[in-house]
Formats: sequence, C-alpha cells, structure tokens
Amino acid sequence: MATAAGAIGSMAHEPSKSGVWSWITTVDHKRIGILYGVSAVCFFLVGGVEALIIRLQLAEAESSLIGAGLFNQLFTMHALTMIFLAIMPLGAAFFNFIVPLQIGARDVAFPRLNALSYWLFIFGALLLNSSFIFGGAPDVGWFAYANLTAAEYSPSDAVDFFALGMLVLGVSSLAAALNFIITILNMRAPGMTLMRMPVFTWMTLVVSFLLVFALPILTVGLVQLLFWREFGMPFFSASEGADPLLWQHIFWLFGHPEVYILILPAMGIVSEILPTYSRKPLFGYSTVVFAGVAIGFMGFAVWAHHMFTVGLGSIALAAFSASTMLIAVPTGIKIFNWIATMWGGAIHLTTAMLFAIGFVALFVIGGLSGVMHASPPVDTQQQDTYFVVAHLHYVLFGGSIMGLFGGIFYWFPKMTGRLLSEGLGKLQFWLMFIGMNVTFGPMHLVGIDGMPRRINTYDASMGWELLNQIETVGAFIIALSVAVFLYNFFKSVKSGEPSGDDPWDGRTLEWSISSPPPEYNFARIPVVHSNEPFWDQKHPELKHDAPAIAGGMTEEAEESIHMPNPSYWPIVVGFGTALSAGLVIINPWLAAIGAVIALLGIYGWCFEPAGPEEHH
Amino acid sequence: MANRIHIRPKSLLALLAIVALPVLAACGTVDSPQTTIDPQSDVAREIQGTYAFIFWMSVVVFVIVEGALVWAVFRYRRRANSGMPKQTEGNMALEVTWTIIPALILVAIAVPTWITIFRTDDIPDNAFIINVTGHQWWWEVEYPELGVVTANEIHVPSDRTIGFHLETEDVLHSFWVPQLFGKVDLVPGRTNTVWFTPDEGTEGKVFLGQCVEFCGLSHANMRMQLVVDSPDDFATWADGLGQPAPEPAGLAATGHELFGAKGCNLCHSINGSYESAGVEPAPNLTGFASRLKLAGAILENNTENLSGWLDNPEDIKPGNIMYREAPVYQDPSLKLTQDDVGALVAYLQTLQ
Repeated sequence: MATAAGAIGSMAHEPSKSGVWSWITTVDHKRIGILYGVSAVCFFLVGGVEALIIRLQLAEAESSLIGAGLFNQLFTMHALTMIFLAIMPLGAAFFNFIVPLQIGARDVAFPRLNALSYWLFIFGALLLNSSFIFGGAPDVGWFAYANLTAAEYSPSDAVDFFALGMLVLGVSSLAAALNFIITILNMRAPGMTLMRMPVFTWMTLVVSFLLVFALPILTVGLVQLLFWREFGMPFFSASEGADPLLWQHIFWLFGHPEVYILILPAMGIVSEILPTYSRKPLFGYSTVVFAGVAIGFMGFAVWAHHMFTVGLGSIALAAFSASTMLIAVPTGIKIFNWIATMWGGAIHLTTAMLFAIGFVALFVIGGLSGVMHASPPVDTQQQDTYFVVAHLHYVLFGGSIMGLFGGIFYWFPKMTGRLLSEGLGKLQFWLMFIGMNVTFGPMHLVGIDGMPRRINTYDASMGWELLNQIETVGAFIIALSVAVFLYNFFKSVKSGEPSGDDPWDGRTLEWSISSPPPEYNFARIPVVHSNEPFWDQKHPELKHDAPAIAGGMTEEAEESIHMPNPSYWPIVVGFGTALSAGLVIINPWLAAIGAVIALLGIYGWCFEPAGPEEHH
Repeated sequence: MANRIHIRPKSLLALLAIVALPVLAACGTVDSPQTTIDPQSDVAREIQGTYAFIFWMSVVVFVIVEGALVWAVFRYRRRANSGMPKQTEGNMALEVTWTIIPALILVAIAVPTWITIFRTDDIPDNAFIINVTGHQWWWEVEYPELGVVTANEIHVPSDRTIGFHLETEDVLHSFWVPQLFGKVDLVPGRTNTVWFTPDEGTEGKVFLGQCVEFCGLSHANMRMQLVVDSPDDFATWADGLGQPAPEPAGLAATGHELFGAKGCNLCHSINGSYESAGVEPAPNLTGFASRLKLAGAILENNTENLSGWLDNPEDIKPGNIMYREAPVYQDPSLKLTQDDVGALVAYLQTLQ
C-alpha cells in the first residue's frame, strides 16, 4: 500500500502543461470545457451522418437502400446522439468554460469531479455507440416505450446498451449539475447577488436544477427496465398486473424537463448575444430570469402531453393541455423581451448575432406548432407524424443548435484569442438557415399529409415522395454548412485574426480578462455592483447609480493563487464505471472488474495529496 | 435619409421562405390519400375545426412576432452614425401587456380544445361496435354483433355511428384513419376507444390508415384500409364472411389440401374449412379473395403479389411471424415449391 500511495504522490506532483497527458489529467474548467465542446462536435457529426442516411433512405418511395433493421437503429441513435452526446455536452462546454468566468471564479467548486463528469460522458457515449459493433444498436426509438423493450420483443442486447449507456451518461450529468449548482451558489465574486448574475449563468443554474430533479426519475426507470428484462421483475408487464404506461409516465416526467435542459442553455446564450451586439442591456432582465425559472418549474407539470393518445381520459387531457398552454406564456415573454432588447439598439450583424436572431425566428415557429399539439384533439392528428418531427427540429435545431453555434462564434475569441472568420461564418449561417428550413419546413406538410414518423418505407401512391426529396436536399445543405464550419474552425484555430480580449465590447466579466484567460482566470477577484459589471466599468457615463468593478485584468496578481493539481484519477474512475456497466451486458459478475478499477480510482482520488500551492 | 432601410435580396428571400412555409402548411396537398385536413366524419371535422382555429391564431401571432423581429433588425442596424443607444433596462407596463395578451390568446385556444375533448370522448350509446386488436404487424377486426372476424380491411356501414374497442395482443400500436378519426394507442392491458360517424357521400370510399406508434421491425408495414359501405353492401359483405368457403376444385383443391398439410391452418382460420379454436395468432383468411390488399394492406391483392408473398414473405415484411415460425419457411424439407405456391394461390383466390 505504501508503494501505491508513493506512486500516487509522485505522479500528482508533476503537473504537465501541454501534450495529450495534460488534457487527460486536466482539472481546469476551461480545458474541460474545450474537451466537452470538441467531443460534442464530433458526436454532432456522427448524429448528422446518421440523419443523412435516414434522409437518403426516405428520399425515394419503397427505397431499399438500407433495411428496416438498420433504419430503426439509425433513427434511435440519431436522437440519442444529438440529444445526449451533442446538444447536452455542447451546453456543458459553455457551462464549463464560461460560467466560472462570468461569476468571477477561478474554477468550479469540485475540479476533479468536473473531470470525472467529462470522462463518464465520453465512456458512456462510447459504450452506447459500441452497440453498433456488438450485435446492433438500440432500435426502439429514443424513448424506448415498454413493452417493445421487453426481453420477449427485443431479445438482443440493444436495449441493455441503451439502459446502461444512459445510466452512465446520467451519472455524468448529475455530477456536473451538482458541481455547477454549488459553484454558482457559492463561488460568485463579491457583490454578485443572484439578481446580478448574467442570464447565461442563470440558465445554467436552472438547467442544473432540472437535471438534479429529472435524472433520478430516468435512473429509476432505467433500473426498472434492466430488472424487468434481466430478472423478470414485472414493472411494465400488463399480463402480470403492471402497466406499460408506467414507463411512459416515468420517461416523460424526465423527458419533458429534458427538453428544457436542451433549450435553456441556448436561451441563455441568446440572452448574452443580443444585448452585446445591440449595445443595450437585456430588456427586462428580471422578467427574463423569472420566465426561465418558471419554464423550469412548469416543465415538470406537462409531461403527459406526450401521451395524449394513450387513453388518459378527458379530465387528464384537459388538465395537461392547460398546463402545456400555460408554459407558452413565459416562453412568449422571453421572445418579446429579446425583440425589445434589439428595439432601439445599434445592431451589429455579426455571425453570432445572426445565429441569435435565427434562433428567435425559428424558435417562434417551433413554439407555435407546439401550441397546436398542446390541444389534445389536434394532437390526435399530429402525434407521431412528421408534423411533430418538424416541430421538435424547429425547437432543437432551429433553437438549440442555432443558439449553440451563436455561442461558439461569440465565445471562440475568449477561448482561443482568435476570431472565427466572419465571412465563412455568415456563409455557414445562411446555408444552415436555408438548409434547416428546406429540411424541416416540408416535414410540417408531409405530416399534415399523414406521414407517420419512424417508418422506413412508404408507398409511392401516398403523395409524400416529392416533399421527402426536398427534405433530403435540405439535409445536404445543412451538411455543407457544417463542412464550412469545420473548415472555418480549423483555419481560425491556426491562423485566425487575433481577437484581443474584448472584441465585441462585452458586458460581462469574462470579457474583462485576457483571451485566452490565464489558468487562474482572475488575477484579483473582482467586486461586482451590477448585472453588467464590465460594461459599467467601460461606460461609467451611462450609469449613475453603480460604481465600476474593482479588480479584473489590469490589477496586479495576488501574492499567491491556489490552483488544483492535475489528476488522472477521474479518467480511471470514469473508465471503471463505464466498463462495469458494459460488462453487465456480458455477465453481471464480470462487472466486478470495472467496479474494482473504479474503486481503486476512488481510493487514489481520496488520498491524492493536494500538493504544494503554485505561485504565479 | 438617415433611416432609410436597405433590404438585401438574400435577406428578403429568407424572410419569404419563413412566411411561405406556414401558408403552404395551411394548404397542404389534399391529394395525399392519408391527409389529416380533409375530414370525412363528424369527429374528424370537429378536430379539424379546432386545428384550423388554432392554426389561424398562430399565423396572426407568427406574422406579428416575426414582423417585429425583422423590423427591429432592419430598423436598428448599426450604421456609421449610430450613437450609443439609450440603455433601456425594461418597461413594466409593456412586459405586463405581453404577458397578458398571449395568456388571453391561449385561453381562446383552450376553450374550443376542451369543448372538443368532451364532445368526442365517449362512444355514443347507439354505436355499431367493432373490436380491433393490434398484432405485430397486422390488425385483427372483429364484429361482435355479427360474429365475424377479418383482418386489415375494415368495412363499416355508412348509416351508423361506428365505435371501436381497441386492444393489443403484443406491443403498443396506434390506430388511425386520419380522414375519419384521430389516432388512439393500443395499450396492453387496456381497452381504448374511438368513434366516428361517416359523412354523407362517403359510401364506397376507401380510407387509408396505418399504425402510428413504433411497434418494431416492420412498423412501416402495418397498414389498413377502411371501407364505408352502403347499408346493403355492408350486409352482403358481412353475410359473405359468415358463409362457409365454397368447395374448391382442380388446382384450388390441391391448394386446399396443402393449406392443411403444410400447417398453414395452425394459425390461419377459414370459415367452414379450417376453423380455429378461438385464439387467432394470424389473420383470418375468410373472404380473403375479396380484400383489396394483402400482407398488412401493403400490396395489391393480385396473383403476382400473392405468389411473391408466399414465396418469400421476409423480403416483403421483415421480421414477420409467419416467416419466423412457420415450418414451411424454417424447415427446408417442408419448403414450398413453385407448384405448391401456385396451388395455394389458386385456393386462396377462391375465398370470395
């Protein structure tokens, strides 16, 4: 034991600053943010390729490009990948990189836990995707309705990969959420009261609470699913007196808040971008914040609108249609406040601003179609058709993805010290905006024409073929826009124009420090007096009631800044946990191997010496 | 003019695209046979009325909101002479206004929604009841009043209100003929219901529907047809189903024997020839030859398609239970020869 502890000690004392090893052992929130971002973009490409294959198959009536089995795997994995491996981690990338900077902190509350969240995400994602190699990916739809998931109807391991992969990803998100709640509540700079937090930080806090409350529900459901399949416990078997609808209630009680987990980060980003490029404060800051909190709360009271066709009974239909319509009120408030933010401003149409405006324009469409199927009778004609597919893509692509790309263009200079090319960025925006409308716009029509979702083939006589062909063309326009982004990204990382510290005349604290920020972020922790501290410092003439921030980049560094040491225990624990989950599929006893690795990692983690303080 | 607005062509194009989409959505393409916006029954029209109302409300909101957005972007573009804008932090009166107005719009939408929910919920007492049971991947259709069973092709009389009792034998399915009624899921352990009264003028029409809850490998191949018959036609059709099958002759007689010898009868019933013991694991084939489609209503019912189906059902409907479990497809020694297929086709085509 003594030698092991010695080895642990000697490793931990040599923090490396560059190379692969430095990324593997990093506990710096900024580097973890970049890891999340790069990984998320990779999975975005995977999910995109899956979507393109789906679109090619559907471009022709009675197409035999791919078989039904592969098609079912692809639409399931497309959804799981985009939701859990692209949009959520892209949000997490910004939480990680930006939130500590916005609140004037030097790191998150638990840096090693933060690294563990990332490694659990990566290994969970790999576990989920490894199913493609080991006998076939999940093919039951991303909400995996019982009782199609029963051992009887899904005898392969695909559903187990789904359940175990999601469990690992859930642990990752839960740890990250707790980390951010604690960071945001405890590590704000002096003077930054809750109502002085930037809206993006606010939305991160709301999303983190949603995760903490929603994920345990899914975890319960997934464990029930595994026990049902593996040990014959009858949680969802009607023949044994249980009810398959229990799964739907559990899943959507998680799944609807999940929708807000996907959209609120983008809303937070847009709430940062619009004021900056309009050179005006966010219109009705507190209203926007309260609207976001209200959406978070109400998100738990609308789940049954995903189940309007299961036979809930009239009273439940009326109640859930009312709660669903109610949630449109705070959403509407946000939209109006965003438009009012631009109203009277001096709008600089940068790429980031275009994405933010695109977000508002497209999210309105997704919101309005959402109100349509908030009405249960109408929903009986739209549920499970392409109309719903159109709706959810206007919200998640037009909304989340557009907002997140806006965030990439907005914060890329802060992350790298370089600007992304604006010319290529605008080209990407217009390709993406047009491509997205060409892809998902006609889905409204083909849904109104009665085309169900999740069908791999349709008869030529149904009259759906032309619209499907248009959608496929649109999907390739989106693919082109993503290619433009990748080119822009690699080009700009290497040789982009230097951005300076504050290229956009920013309003929040992250713009007050150098780009990229030093490891310790703030040489001296600033003191905050308003919700736009950096703007007020730069423009004291515009404010009469608040003194400027103190501290920031111009100040001398404090005598000693304690920063956490790098650690390789997070990757060990993450790997052990995911391995354990994966081995369950082969044999529950084998899972002990992964568990031992994870436990060793936790042991090393606990006794890892803090190391001497670094001096800057 | 300082405030002159320059609208660039590409921006205008994008704007047009956004505006055009919902307008197109309103029109739809009504020539699609499974359209949701060409209702042909009382219930479907009630739903369509609610939808149309919400749709046009949405169009109004859409035009106002997108209009304001686009206006703001063009009107307040940063120009060389743009000074520092006024640092407006909010306006309580405005914000209260745009909280209350959407809330009122939503109340206006909620009221007709609730009225429709309660008007369409329970099957009326005088309805003609049909029991539908979902299977992977076909529909069993039982007429309890008449004591007959069929599959995938539902005939209804035009002069009655039709009520469906919906159950499933295996996984979730969803029952939907959009021109006649909204979808209702088939859930294990439950009996869900839906009903409609066909409009006048629907006699003789064939309406299309299909399963709309993902139900496994061949979900896309679980379709159905609903035929509205005049009362006389319906009586004739139902009467035919109740009669024993005609005595087959020639090649059909060989097929009739094969139907038993090859074990088809273990799952498929035919009135008067091969009667089941009650449970029907596969479509009842009584009156098969008069059906418009076969194999879960995915293929025209003709000699070529039927031969192809018997020859290799897995190609047509991946994962189907007949291919997975019937000895003729799993045991090479029992494999159907071309002659067998020809004889079975001849026999099945006698089942008027």
